[in-house]
Amino acid sequence: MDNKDKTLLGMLLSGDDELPREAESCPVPKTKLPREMPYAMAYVPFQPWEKPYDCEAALQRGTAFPCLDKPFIGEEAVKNG
Amino acid sequence: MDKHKLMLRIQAAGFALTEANLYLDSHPACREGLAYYREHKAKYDELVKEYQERFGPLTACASEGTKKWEWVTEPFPWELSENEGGED
Repeated sequence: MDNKDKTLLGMLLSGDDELPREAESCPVPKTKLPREMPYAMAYVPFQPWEKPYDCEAALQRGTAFPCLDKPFIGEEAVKNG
Repeated sequence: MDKHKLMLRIQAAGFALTEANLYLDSHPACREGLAYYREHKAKYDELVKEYQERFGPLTACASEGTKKWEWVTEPFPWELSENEGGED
């Protein structure tokens, strides 16, 4: 491994499988975000109203809104993009 | 309804109000959200009224304070009566 690549990225890129080629333009990742959204700005979709849980269930789930009911299950629960 | 069950109902209704509050903060004119809030506010007030009539004030400032300071002369909300507290 080329000992100049001390940074993590350098080490990653100069893995023994292949030498890092001249950086072509990376393909724009196909995500669900609309095209005209500018880069480097965080987005939170605006929550629409929906029928809430019955209030005993809501207290147990920790939210009244099904769309916000995201228990931690130790891995990526909702595929994004 | 016994004290314990009434308290659980109050907590559930109170939680619905908290959720309505959070939602309405960002959706202040949402008709359904406002209806949800009004519905559970009425429910909550009714449950609290029943609780306090039967078991004493839920908060200090719920004391009438006419003849005595109910907050300390009646059982605190968290106090268990003789036959409570065994189950869980």
